[in-house]
Amino acid sequence: MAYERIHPAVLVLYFLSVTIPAMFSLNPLLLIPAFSGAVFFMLLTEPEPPKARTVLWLTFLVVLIIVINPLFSHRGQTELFFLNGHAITLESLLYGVRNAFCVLTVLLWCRIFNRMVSSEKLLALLGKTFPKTALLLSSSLRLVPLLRCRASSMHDTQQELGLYGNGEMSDRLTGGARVFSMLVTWSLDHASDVSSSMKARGYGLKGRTTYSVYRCKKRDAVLTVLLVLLCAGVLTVMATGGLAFTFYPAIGMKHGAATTAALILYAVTALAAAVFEAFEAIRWKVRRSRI
Amino acid sequence: MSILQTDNLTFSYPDAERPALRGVSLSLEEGSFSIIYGPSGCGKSTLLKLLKKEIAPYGKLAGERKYAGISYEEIDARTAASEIGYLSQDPDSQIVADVVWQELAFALENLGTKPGKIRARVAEMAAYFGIEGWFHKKTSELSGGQKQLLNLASVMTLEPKVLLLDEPTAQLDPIAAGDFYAMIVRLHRELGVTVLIAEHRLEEILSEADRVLILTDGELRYSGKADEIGTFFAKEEYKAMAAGLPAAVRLYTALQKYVGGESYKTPLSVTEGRAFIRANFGNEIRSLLEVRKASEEADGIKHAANTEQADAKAFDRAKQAVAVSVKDARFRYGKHSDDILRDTSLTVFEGEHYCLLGGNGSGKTTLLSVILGTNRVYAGSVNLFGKSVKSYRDGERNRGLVAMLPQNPKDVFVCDVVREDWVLACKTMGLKGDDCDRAIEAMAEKLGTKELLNRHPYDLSGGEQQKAALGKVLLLNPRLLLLDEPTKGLDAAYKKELKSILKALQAEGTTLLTVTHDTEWAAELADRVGLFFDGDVSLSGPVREVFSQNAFYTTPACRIARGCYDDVMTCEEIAELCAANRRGRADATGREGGAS
Repeated sequence: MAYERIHPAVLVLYFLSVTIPAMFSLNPLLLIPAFSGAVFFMLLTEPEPPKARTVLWLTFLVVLIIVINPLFSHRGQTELFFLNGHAITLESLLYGVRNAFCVLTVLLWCRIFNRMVSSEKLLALLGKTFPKTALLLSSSLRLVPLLRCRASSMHDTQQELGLYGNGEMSDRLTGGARVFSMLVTWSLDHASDVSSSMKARGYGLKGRTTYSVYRCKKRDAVLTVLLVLLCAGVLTVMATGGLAFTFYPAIGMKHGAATTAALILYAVTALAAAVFEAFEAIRWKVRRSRI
Repeated sequence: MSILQTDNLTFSYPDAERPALRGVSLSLEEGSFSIIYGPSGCGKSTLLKLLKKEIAPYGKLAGERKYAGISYEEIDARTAASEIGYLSQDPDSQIVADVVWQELAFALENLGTKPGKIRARVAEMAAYFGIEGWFHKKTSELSGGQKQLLNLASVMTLEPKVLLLDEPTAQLDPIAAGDFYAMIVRLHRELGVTVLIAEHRLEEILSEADRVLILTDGELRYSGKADEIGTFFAKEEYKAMAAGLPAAVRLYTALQKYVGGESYKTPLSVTEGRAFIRANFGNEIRSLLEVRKASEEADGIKHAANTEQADAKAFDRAKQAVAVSVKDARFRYGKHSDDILRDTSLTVFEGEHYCLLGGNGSGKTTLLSVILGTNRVYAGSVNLFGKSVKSYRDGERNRGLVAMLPQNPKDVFVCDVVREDWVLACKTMGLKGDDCDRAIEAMAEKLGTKELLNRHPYDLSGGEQQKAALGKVLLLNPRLLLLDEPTKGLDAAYKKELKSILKALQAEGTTLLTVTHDTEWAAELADRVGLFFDGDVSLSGPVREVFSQNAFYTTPACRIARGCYDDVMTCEEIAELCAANRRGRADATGREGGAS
């Protein structure tokens, strides 16, 4: 994927400049490019179509949020019908739709972020400013699968040795507690081994440096400048109320050159990832045809 | 010039009755390749740790340690960290970081190297070690062999002049161990690194060493060339230690008296071993059967030859009861993963010892879990003693029917004292009070583990841990005992002990099924062996038949004897044949002399 060649810092900046306006502005027009940008990007980069379960779950979530809002909020002036003596209003319904799509969009972008910026990349970024914390996190991340593996192999062996008795609750609990306490002993043992291996490789000497495989290239610098400009434009308009949108009591939106400009800038930002990915895919096809 | 030197080094751990090292003086030349050989607990790990300043154990130290002429007390911390590299045996406990490239950069970061230089060095190392393919992988996803190579690469990023390796391949399978040593040899030849390895398994590495140091009870007994150690081990008091040596060396120690004493160079490899036999003994008599027949004729007494006995036993099998019967079993771990067992079939008869050999990750351990009942096959059948494994209730299987000694003996313990763990096993069996105590005493007597019972399982050495774990498993009184790589990391002495324990068990009627890489172990213990490959037992038969017909997957002794003698699989048997041939030659010359 083309995004893999971009410095993780730029990816983090991009994620923030897409999600922050989508989350903090009530303007639903922002959600259109944000949502379609996420969908296009996923269509281009996801290795396999989403599982039926995921789609069902997301649909359920969307419907739930849409339904719940008008049931509990009866503000708004356009009454659609009455339920138990309470008015269900159009404004409240639309507000629910906006919220549902906001949540869905942000969820999709989080998934994209998760794919784009692995824990490894995040740590590499963190290492620049907080080297000690980054090392600690990295070694903890290393420990998690190791502990899980130890725990399951200990558990299996103990099950065969009859530690859990005949499966009664009390036996299972005491058995579990024993395995856990032995796991703690093991991890202390392990920690002392690891620390001697660290010392053997010079850990604790003065002047430790931090290295990251991710290098800032010219392209990353250009992308950062572009992103900052786009983001600054959108945020300025947002801060001065140019993107204001009201649902209650009646739906209303600010108009003007600034608003239009901000919407266009935001649309460019949100669709940029998908466009970049598509452009790179086409360029790769052209390049490959020359091989 | 000597790069590493100790002078009369004596060291005792706090509260220890005897010093761990006594008056050890050694001197390593720059660019040399040395091996410290000795049983576990002989002090070789202590010696290596003392030579690595940062991790030197706490205790009473006397004598002098010098690196490149500088005393260890005055050596600069940066020099000590970077120029002396150290690697221990457990691949997992030496990895700090989550991702491979972070691990490679770790040591350089510690020394404050500039990022630009780290980039160059890390790239260089990854390319040299051939780890580009997994550069971005998580360290937890690597195999044991890859982990140990990564540890080595990470140490090598500092360009050490000396490499101290403490049993670096003890936790690896033979293929991975071979790859690891190939890398060490390459580093030594191409970069001139001084290498010092502590080992108790020398099959792969001995012929590379230009010096061997032998350490027992904390004292240095021998220091000299590798091809002269045969003479040392031919001495009666050190013969027991010879079991970890290459087959060719063991053969030499057994036959030294025939070849005119100390002048002959010790053969180290299979080729040299074969040449040694050809030159000195010949092969007029090709098989032990001939020897036995000849001696029968001579003595007029009927000896039952080993091989015949084995054949007779195999013949009886048709009538014998079946302990394990796996038929066309299929198994996979997840719905969408690949099959690990592919129409696997295996039969183990009651009272026999079956050894299953095969590569790492081929599914041998999975097969054991299926027999044990922890995993269920999705097709085919698994029967234990004539009944489907499914038909036993959960408690029934682990009480007196089947039990397993897992690969990692640590998995067996859940208490702070070995005795308490054993009590737990008694509880599973329903033994209480005096019965329980009596069972534990009897087991401790049988395994010789009395003094271990009141210690913490993690404080025991690898071999002791293995025995204590075996005790707990055996308290469940299994009719069928499964063993998963029981010889991993064990030295010759413990192997011998375990061997006699298992033989005694078999004599009592326990059926044994062992999964192992150790062909010599199988040759000495198994009745039948099978080769697990591609999800099935592809080759199965009486141990002698399989090993004498296999060219690659066989014991080193078989490799030496190949094309020279038939039907032999251990060094002792070859030695017997050689001796017989020698006698034959002597007789022939004697007769010729008499006739002329």
